[in-house]
Amino acid sequence: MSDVVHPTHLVEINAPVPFLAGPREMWRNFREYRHLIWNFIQRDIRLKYRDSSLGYFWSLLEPMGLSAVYWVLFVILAGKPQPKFALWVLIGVIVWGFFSQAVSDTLTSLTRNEGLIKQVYFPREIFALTNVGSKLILSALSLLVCIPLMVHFRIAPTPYLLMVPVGLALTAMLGLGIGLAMACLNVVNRDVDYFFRFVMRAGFFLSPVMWTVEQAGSRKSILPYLLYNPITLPLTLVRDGIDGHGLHMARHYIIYGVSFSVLTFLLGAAIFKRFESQVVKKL
Amino acid sequence: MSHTTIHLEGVSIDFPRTKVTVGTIERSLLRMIGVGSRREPMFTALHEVSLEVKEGDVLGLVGRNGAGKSTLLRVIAGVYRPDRGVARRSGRVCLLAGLGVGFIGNLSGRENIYLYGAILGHRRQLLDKLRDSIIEFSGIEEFIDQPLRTYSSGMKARLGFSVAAAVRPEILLIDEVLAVGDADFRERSTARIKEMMNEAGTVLIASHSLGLIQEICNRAILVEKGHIVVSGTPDEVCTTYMGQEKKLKSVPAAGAGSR
Repeated sequence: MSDVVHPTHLVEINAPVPFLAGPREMWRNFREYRHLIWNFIQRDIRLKYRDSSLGYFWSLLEPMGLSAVYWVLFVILAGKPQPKFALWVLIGVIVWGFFSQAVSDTLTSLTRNEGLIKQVYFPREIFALTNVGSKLILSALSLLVCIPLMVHFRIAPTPYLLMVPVGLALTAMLGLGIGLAMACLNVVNRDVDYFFRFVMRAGFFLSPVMWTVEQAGSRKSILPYLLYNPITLPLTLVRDGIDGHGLHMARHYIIYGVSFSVLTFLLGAAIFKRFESQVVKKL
Repeated sequence: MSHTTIHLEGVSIDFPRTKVTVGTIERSLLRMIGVGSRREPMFTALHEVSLEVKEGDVLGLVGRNGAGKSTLLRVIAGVYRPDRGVARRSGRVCLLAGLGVGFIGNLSGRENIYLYGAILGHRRQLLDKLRDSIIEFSGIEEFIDQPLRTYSSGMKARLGFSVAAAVRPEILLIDEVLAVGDADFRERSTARIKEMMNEAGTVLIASHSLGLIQEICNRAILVEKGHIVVSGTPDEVCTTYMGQEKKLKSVPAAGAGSR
């Protein structure tokens, strides 16, 4: 059995990690526990649609239905949209759904798994990583709905499609970062959860889900503020990648968007590792 | 010679005395970074506990409810980080606490074997090899593909012990789990623990069943209000514990009589 390590020397149990080493520690745990993470992801996906007859079709039907609703709403409010609008909204709905689930799942990852946390030890970020991992897979599957629309609008696949995984990865990092930073605080005070539910609902309208950066471009007064919304870049990367053209955004907004997501993730990881063992006692 | 596998040095654990109503966000925030104006009321669950356990030891933990036995096991498992003192161990650890913890009710028993095995740090290939012996040891072949929520608590405990025993951790921590099994299973699990003892494994058992402690342990400690008050042979420790229990029982009766 290669798995068995023979006891040679004593190691400190659960030794504290310096604040700045938090992300590195998380990366190490990710590598060490990848089998468990994969097992959990499979479980999540298998359980998601258990006892439903349509099963995985729900991950296609749900964004389609929502997009149809938003499309009708747009027609009522703003008149006849551009023909490709249906595709843009569909992508927006899928990416936004992934983002808001990533935030809320990560935020509540400690409080939801109280039973397991108290009885078995493994790094607690694994709950967040597996939840976001499985939602990432389901969202990527949902994006397959775009294929028939791409055929309909005669959009040929271009190398810009490579922006799609980048956009999804940045969305995951941003969602994980916000959630990890707040997860420990949420144990102490559950108001955090309720507050963020509200923030995400409001954020929906401030983010380019039902509209695009190009559409907002005609309103010069609000555009810069919308471009500073950290989800704008990841979402637009996915949308423009599928639509087959480059980003219509100034370079500094792109650099800002990428670094915002990455830094949020690193900071969230550090905060989580710093306070995790303190709040476990409050569960 | 036998190596030390668990070494605790002056380990203390404080728990916040949580009230049902929670303070405001700012106060919790400030307290977390240590700027809090008023200290939170604390309850010390373990007071400077020092303990050394070696390979081949089967250590029994006895004590009343809330004495700190489970907290001690959780410190060794890594669930709680000591507030003061240092806890060290060597080797893989496996904590069996509660009934079938780490198990997911909607998954079948078989799927749970893989899940629990993965939680204990094992990869799929190894579990493929061990699966049949785990199912056989648990004695629940008949129900192994049923969802776990349909299992009785005894069956869950059997499955948990079977996985834990099969993956052969260097340190096995058992928190009042064996008591729920039936006589037949208890006999087999006792035999398995003795086997671990011979294989130089370390086992810690917290139990209220003094008979079990006396039967399989070679050492025991009595835990009381977060202190280790007696440490010695299982017989010594159990006798002390029984004596205290008797005294405790007679006190309230006498008190009631005098009033």
